Amino acid sequence: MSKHWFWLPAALLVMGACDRGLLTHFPHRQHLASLECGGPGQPKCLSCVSCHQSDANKHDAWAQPTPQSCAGCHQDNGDKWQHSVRPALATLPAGKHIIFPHEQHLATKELKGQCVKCHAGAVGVEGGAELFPPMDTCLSCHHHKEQFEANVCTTCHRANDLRALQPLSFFSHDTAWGRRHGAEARANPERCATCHAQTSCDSCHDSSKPLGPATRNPEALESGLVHRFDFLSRHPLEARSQPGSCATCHVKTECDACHISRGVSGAVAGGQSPHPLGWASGLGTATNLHGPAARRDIGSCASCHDQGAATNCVRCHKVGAAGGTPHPMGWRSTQQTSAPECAVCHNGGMP
Amino acid sequence: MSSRFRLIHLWSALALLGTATSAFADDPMSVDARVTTYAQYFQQGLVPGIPGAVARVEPSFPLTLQAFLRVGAVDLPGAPDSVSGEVSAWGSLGPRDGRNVDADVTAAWAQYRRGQIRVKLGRQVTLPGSSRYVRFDGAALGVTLGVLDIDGYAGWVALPRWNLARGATLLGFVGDGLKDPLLAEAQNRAGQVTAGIRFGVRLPLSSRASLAFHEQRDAIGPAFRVLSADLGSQPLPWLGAGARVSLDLQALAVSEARVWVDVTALKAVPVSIDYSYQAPALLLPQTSVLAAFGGASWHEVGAETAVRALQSLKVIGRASGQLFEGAQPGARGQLRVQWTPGVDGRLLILAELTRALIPPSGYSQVRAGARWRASYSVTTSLDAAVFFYDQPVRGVTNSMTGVASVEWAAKPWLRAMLSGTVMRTPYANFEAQALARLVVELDPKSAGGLP
Repeated sequence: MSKHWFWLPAALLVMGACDRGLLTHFPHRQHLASLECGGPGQPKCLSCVSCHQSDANKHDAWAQPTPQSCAGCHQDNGDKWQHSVRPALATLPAGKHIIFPHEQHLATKELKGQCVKCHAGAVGVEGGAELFPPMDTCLSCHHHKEQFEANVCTTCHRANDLRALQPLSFFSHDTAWGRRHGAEARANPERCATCHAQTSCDSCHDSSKPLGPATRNPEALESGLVHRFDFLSRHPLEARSQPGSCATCHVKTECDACHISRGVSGAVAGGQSPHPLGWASGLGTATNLHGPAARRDIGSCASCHDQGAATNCVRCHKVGAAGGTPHPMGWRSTQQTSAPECAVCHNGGMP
Repeated sequence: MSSRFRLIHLWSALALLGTATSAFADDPMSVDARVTTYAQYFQQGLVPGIPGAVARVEPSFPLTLQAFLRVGAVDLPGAPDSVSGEVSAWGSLGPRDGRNVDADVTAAWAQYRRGQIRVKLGRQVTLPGSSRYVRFDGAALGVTLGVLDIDGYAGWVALPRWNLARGATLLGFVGDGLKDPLLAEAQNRAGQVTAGIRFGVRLPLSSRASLAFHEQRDAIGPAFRVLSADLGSQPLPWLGAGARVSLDLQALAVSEARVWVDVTALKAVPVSIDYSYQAPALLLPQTSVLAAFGGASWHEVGAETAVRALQSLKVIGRASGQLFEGAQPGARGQLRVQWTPGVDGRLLILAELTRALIPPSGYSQVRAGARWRASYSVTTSLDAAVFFYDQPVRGVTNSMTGVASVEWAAKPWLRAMLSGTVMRTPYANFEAQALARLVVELDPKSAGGLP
């Protein structure tokens, strides 16, 4: 049976190799700019609408050329051009429909009937502009920015399309986006919801799911998924290095649930303490490092030691005991000392 | 009917729903649906044993299913595009973490939006102050008045689960545990409520500011009472900046702050600079005794760039320094190179170096990966990394991982993937895992997140 596992991917590759290609390589530039045309005995000059014919007054103007479009000039062998128009390209890519009066725009003095001023990618070279203009092209002439700020997108986009759009020219989800997307989402959650489902957030942030996003998506190489590879070995390091980052998704006590189920907790019979010997004993000794560690990231301590007074620091750190008062310099709180967490020490509530 | 058959039945029903809803493709109403099934095989689980020892477990074949459905732009009489909603859930069969059957609902909400008013009911998330990411069952109400946005919410907290394993007390129930640890087992959500309100204003120069209040209560009192402020602005096309700060109203101290500046004057070399501050003790629920112990504050200054060269080459770098008050400084650096030769993006080659100094330890990482879209329907990937630890982890100073996958997009709505992982880590001399993933998706381009 195990040998068959080898053949399955190989068979898939062979099947795929017989499949069609990925992109069009139609020489738009050659047709639009390099042909000798318009002179005596020469064919008429082409424009975009020579082939992409449609009623330009209609919104969503998108006309797929037909083989007859080719045969108008290539009269030698019309059938030869049948394959130049591929069904895969007959559908406008998701999100590219916009509510847009093409004819009205083409008639402006800025465009002078030239589609390529916006659709420069049609005749471009590698590294040039995209086929479909980025949104800042629209914003450079119009005042749609106010609508964008108000999360009103349906003036130009169909509501259906928004979930398939990717911002490229501004509001780009690039560079440090991964670090600040949370702040952006807090500041304007409605804008996120314009395109994204809540499940989009949950797919990375929901720690309740049994499989982590890196496990579920091994092919997502570029994604900044934090739990890749051997995260188990380095998770204490990561927690210390960026103490708030775990709390982005995890409740601290989730740590304890895992430690208990794995037997690495003082809260389970026969469990092992992850701390080295002398971790919390022998005042001033070289091995007694629990204080600096706790000052550095009390949250990591809470991963296990937040299961009742018997499990945490207040056994020693209370007035009159070896650890003294637990409060740091400048400690303030609006809580009454009768609050349960305060009463543990202040009202003799310590069990 | 067994639980396994029930799940298969659910899968079939949702798959049929996904097929049926494709009929709406040209309808103004939008429908996204996705059902993902994962089958795993563990030859050896990641189970810590005696330091340095390999802990073997029995082979396991857990099966996990996720389902997601979203509808949008649904018309009501006299109110076009006014209703939207989302349901998302998962279930698993087979031994995992001591359970054979497990399931949860992660989203279940419906929203009505008309003009400047929006109402959302059901299980949803909010992103308040220092408690980060709160899922709750309740209601949210929003209204826009000119340049002012006001949003409020209230409900019962449902994070992270309604049925956690023993020991994983829900946020804030530590208070009961203080009185008697046994009470931690008798949790209920009756006293776990949350409420908050945010005022946002749109300002000139593409600026936005907001002020928010969030409170989250346990049965014994407030766990989080946070006032936070956000500011974002893009005064120039090439300059963006933002800041946020959270004030814990119980400790009367700043629990978290962040400032960032994005400079894209050179489009080929965008730069983002950020500063972060955290008081880790204040990120704990304030019903925790440990929050009263305080602790050192944490500062980080970092810079990040993503340079694109030759159209096909992208170099992403980040460097940051960290300071724990009264402790040694730490640092991190990462350099990643992504090469996508050709215009069709079929091949991606990735190399990455990472160095983290986390006194008294740290680690270095070397990673290489590639993804190749072999044809219109077949994509393969390889990803491998080696970690070198400055201090041994369970007596071992390095770990190695390799992951391979092949995916076949049989139809635009059907994808099947096989992946295999082999590892040598401080916890296992050798470990192998296999994963099969089947995705049935109505619209592969929908923004429903990773499968």
